[in-house]
Amino acid sequence: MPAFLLKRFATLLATLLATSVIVFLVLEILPGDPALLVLGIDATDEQLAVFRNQYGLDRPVLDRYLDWIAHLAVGDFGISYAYKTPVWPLIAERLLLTYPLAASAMLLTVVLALALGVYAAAQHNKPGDLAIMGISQLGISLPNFWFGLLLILLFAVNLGWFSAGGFPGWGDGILAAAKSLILPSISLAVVQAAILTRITRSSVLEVLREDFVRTARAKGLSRQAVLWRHVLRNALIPVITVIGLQFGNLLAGAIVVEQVFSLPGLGRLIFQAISNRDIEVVKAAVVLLAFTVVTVNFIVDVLYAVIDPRLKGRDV
Amino acid sequence: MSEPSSFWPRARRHRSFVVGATLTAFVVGMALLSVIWTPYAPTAINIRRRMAMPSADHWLGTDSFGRDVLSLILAGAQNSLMVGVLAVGFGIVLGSTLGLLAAARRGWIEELVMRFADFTFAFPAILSAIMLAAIFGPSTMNSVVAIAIFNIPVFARVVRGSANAIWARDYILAARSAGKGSTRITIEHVLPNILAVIVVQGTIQFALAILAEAALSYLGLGTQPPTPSWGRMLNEAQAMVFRAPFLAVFPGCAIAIAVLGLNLLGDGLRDLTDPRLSRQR
Amino acid sequence: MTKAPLLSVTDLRVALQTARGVVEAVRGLSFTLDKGETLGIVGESGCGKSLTALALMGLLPDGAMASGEVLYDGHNLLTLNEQRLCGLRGNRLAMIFQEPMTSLNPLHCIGDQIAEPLQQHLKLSRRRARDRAVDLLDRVGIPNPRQRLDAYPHQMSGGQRQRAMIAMALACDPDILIADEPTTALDVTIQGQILDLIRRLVDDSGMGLVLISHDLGVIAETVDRVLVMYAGRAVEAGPVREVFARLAHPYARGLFSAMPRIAPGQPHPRTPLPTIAGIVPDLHDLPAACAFAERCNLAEPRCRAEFPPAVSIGPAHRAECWRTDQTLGARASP
Repeated sequence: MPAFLLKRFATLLATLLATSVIVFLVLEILPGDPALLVLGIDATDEQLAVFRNQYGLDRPVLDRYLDWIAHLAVGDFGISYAYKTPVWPLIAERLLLTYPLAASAMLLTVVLALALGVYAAAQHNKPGDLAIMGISQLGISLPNFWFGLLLILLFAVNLGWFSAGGFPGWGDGILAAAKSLILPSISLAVVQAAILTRITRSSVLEVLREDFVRTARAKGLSRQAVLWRHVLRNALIPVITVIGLQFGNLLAGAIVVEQVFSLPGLGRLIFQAISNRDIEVVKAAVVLLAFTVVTVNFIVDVLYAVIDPRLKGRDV
Repeated sequence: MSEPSSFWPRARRHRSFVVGATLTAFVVGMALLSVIWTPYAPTAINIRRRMAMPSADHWLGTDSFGRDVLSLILAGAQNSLMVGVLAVGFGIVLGSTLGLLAAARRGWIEELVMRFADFTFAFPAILSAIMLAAIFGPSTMNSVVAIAIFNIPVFARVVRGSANAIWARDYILAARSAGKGSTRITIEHVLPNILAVIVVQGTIQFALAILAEAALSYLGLGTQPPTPSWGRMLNEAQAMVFRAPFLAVFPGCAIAIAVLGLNLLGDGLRDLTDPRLSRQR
Repeated sequence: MTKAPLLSVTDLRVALQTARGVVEAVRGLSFTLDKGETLGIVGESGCGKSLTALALMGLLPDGAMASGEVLYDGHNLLTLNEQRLCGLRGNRLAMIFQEPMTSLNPLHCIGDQIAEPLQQHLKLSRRRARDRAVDLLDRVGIPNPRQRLDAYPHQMSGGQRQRAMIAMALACDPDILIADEPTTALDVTIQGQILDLIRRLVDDSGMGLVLISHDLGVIAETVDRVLVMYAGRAVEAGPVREVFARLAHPYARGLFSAMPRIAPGQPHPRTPLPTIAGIVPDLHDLPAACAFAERCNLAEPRCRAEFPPAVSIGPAHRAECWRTDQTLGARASP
């Protein structure tokens, strides 16, 4: 493994560790006594003591933290305060919806943004470019959950092409399940695609001004060929960084959009957990989401180096 | 930075700036108006006039509790702007302090600040809000804190970048050799020179803050009823989407107008204050 | 000569769209280039020499318009459609640029970039094109060409990158090579090597070379004929020895005396270098007279009132000046 990959990997581990510390501090130390938080102020001292003992809350903070991450490392996310069952199966079931939703929205975002952004740049200052810029300005300003509501109004209420929400589950046929994710994916993707389109466009425009573009034209390549063979890959470098950062927004957005379309994903689990004061579930869900974002950004960094040979020699 | 004398004549001709400033002024006007007057009391429930279509009496109709939608939207502007001002304000104060500190001290302090800023991308505002709501319960303050946390690294990064560029200039060297300390140089020379950058970023972050606030209220993590908020209105409208679809339209339009206005204003300000960027958009 | 020249440029004009209106940056340039001939274009930056090169290639930036005639192989390149031009560029007409640093794509290895014109024009497979690229790298003097094929631009020195650029330009054995300041960005020691290389390749292949430079030394060493450009016009043109010996135009004279010369064995000259007073004229308001008059110490009222005529100085040597009587002393007359 090249040096830069090792270094990136070390950064990944450090970031994951820092993330777990923050989540642990905020959710387990900041509230003071989780037992009091969960059982409420009416609880007797005895009840509190039993609860603390049951969840190991009477041990020193450092022990509790180390215990928690040691279990996290092997996929043990603790026991839910409310359901009295292991947290992981609860979350795993929901992830089967939230991950595909975020992933399909990401895919849609990238495809839309690259196509529109490159087209707009190629049409610089012509009507096509101006139209795409105008629409994307509007797209950036839309709340994704409202856009979801508008999609429901149009496609469910008026046209009746889709149901207004709900999820049949993957068991009853992949197609039906995928269909119920179409509108949510679109409402998630539109805002992010609008942002990414603008970034793609300006990145392509910037690369088009580079000297090597002129060299490629001097070789006899057509404008089209230069765009595909020389410009796009160079333009992708900043775009990919943004894609990585957008994934966090998409995952967070997925939690919101799940509410719009009544999808039983991680979002709903989290909101139930909040109203149940089920800190253990919130902690697991939040740390998992944060880990996902951090890991995706790590993957993006690695991808970066695949595209740009200049990074391989250096340790960044 | 541009000299003040040439700012307004250029600004008046700048399309993004004019449209953005107009829309922003419109939203601020709504909020101010609602302090002294709304057509109806925003919280007044009228069971007999539930989900009335828009009419002369109720320009934008009434919601499922018979409240006047126009009054709710006007009052909702107050909530959005207040959360935005507080959250971005905290972000500016704390983030800029960190950024200025990093640029003035360099070394391990800068490293620490930047690593912290890099790391916070793992916590989108909604994730912070979820954690806060799990402990303290949902509230408007919850939105403010979550959005502020998200804003601090943004300003830290932007301010540190611009401040480093100022520190590299010759007149800073002159000031240093005149024996001025780094705190004094920061206040006298660095800060005035990066104000424009902070204002531009602040405008754009304000737009993002309004979007985030709306999402948090919509989820029930932020502003709680009966305080009117645009996100909450959309949440309530959703339950009625088959019976009164128009209820889902107006609050969203209000959010979009506010966000669009601030985005355009920010773009315009950037063009007008940074001549290097003006040709690229 | 009775045979038609390889390239014949007649009244080439390049108009630029600027914020302050349209300006003409190249104002009626005419010259010819024969097979195996080397032509130098010399002048200060902004005199229109690079735009001339780009106009020949049909690669003018957006907002620039060329008119006149550039005749190659019976076709006016200025009116040829884009598809036919693409067929000529990199194939019959090749170009080398100033900055080897930025003129190569940082994300593609050298071998692929050299192979590209071969795949494009000769329809070679990638494999065969890369084999040819090895020969080309060898020809331009890059050691271990087979290994260097997979090197990326950032792994090479400036001189090596420029050699790779030259290999790329030579890939399809072009008829005409246009080199725009090919050595300006390089170290002095490397400059000579690259010029030697270009000269040798031109001699071997018999192609025509247009060498653009602001450096009279480079021009003197490399080309047969020279064209001195000022404010978009060729103010003096002729065989390089003739031009350097006579320096009929005051501008050419100024350029020449502004060049540092250190003869071997002689002490360093103590006198400051003479410079040409004034600045390059603003293309927005050029006079309908000699554009150099404002900076010329020989200027007389006529110079500021009327365009100077093209004065014949010798065989194929002419200058656009009213005062050649002064510059040439008693020897020449209009």
